[in-house]
Amino acid sequence: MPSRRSSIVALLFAVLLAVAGCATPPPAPPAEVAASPEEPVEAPAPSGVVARNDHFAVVVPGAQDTLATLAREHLGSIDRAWEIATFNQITSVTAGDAVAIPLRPVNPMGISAKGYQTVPILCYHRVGPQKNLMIMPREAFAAQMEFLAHNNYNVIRLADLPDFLSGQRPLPPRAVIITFDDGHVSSYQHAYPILRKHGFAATFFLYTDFLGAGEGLTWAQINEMSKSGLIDFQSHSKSHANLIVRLPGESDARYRERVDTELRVPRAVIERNVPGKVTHHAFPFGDANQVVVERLVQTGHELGLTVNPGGNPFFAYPLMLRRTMIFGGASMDSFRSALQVFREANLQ
Amino acid sequence: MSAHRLVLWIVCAGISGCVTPPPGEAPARPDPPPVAPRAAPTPQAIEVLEARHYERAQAHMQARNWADALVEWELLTLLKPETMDYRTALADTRKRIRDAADGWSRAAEQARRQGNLDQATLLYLRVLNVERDNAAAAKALRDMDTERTHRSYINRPPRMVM
Repeated sequence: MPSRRSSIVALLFAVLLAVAGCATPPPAPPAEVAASPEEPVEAPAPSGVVARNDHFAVVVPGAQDTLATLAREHLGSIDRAWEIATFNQITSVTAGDAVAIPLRPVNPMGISAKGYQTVPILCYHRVGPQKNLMIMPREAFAAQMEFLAHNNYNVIRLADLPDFLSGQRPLPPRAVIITFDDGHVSSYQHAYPILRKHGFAATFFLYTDFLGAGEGLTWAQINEMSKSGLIDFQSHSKSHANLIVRLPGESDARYRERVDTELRVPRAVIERNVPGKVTHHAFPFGDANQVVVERLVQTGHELGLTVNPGGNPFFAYPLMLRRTMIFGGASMDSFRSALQVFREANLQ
Repeated sequence: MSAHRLVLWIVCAGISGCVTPPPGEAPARPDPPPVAPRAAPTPQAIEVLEARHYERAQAHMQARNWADALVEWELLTLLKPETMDYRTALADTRKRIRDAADGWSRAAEQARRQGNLDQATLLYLRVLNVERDNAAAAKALRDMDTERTHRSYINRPPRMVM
């Protein structure tokens, strides 16, 4: 049986250990290096770094390293592991084999001699046992998600798009975005379990007058999906009115006021009920005009989404992004044709 | 509480305090384990990397993919700054890029002035294919897409009303 004195020593040791663990600063971000690419920095080489400037870190991984640990350490996020894999043309790292980590995006716009990357944004409405133009049968939706999962598509978040559009951050090849409009309960009952099975992110655009009654999602369902980290919630107007249609006898001032309400209210309601910022708006019926686009900017939105079909290149107009409706009767062939991830062009 | 239990409690509390994520952050994926110090690299590891990227640099030069070649020469110059051939190739590639980008830019601006937006788009993309950080070409493409979208979709009849 340990003595009282040894217990006190153990106690002190434990306290010091616990405090020291917490007090240890997080790994420092990559040091700012002002040297040109031609001038390697002769700094100490911690963590296997053998050379470094502001363009590259050359690293010899240890046995414990993966693409994810290198991405976290050098690029700040494990989500950027694919950038290391792509540049080095590898699928995993091997201890002792040097890899070059591009610290600046090598090809942020996805351009090559054969063409350029485009990002399709898929638009669904309802998923369910029935089928019509706006209702995707559950089995068909499941098959479409299986198709994405097994054909090297990378489902990304809509929130990843603005940095691509501004040329700051590349997206993985074959990037696809999934969205749902309206906030119908079937998106929770039928689509969400399938998305979760694949770990696919999606954005649900809500028109807030629809929520909490009838066939609309409840806030409990919305918050459950939000907590998964996969689903984010953005604005699809307050009432789902077509914002380019004026009411009979409506003055310019009243029209602007109504557009403002349709943009501001859902944003405030969603932000009050769900964590996260609302900065993206899907236009009801995909329609927008000059007034709507101007008010969209003035109300602090970053992206506007239409239902004009096609993929979005890096130079796409962020306030009227293309988005392709996937209709209930869509065949697998027409689904495949909606996945426009690259536009061929002779760029040499 | 006995001293033993107290010790256990403090250690657990300390550890859990350290690993609890900040409130409001939804962990999308589990974090990889922390990185431990690594062993010193072998010279062969660098030589293998150098050889691989030299081969790629040559292939890109052959294919006239100047932007990709530039990236490879930049890396090789970092790996072997004393190798004059790499510095020369880097400077040569930069010059090729400048010349090609200047030529495509002039043609693109002319096409745009003449109202041939499809041709201008193609030519500005060619500029960016050789010079990926050409801000003027990127801006021109964005401006043209904005114009094109406005022309095609703004002020057209509504699709549907509820």
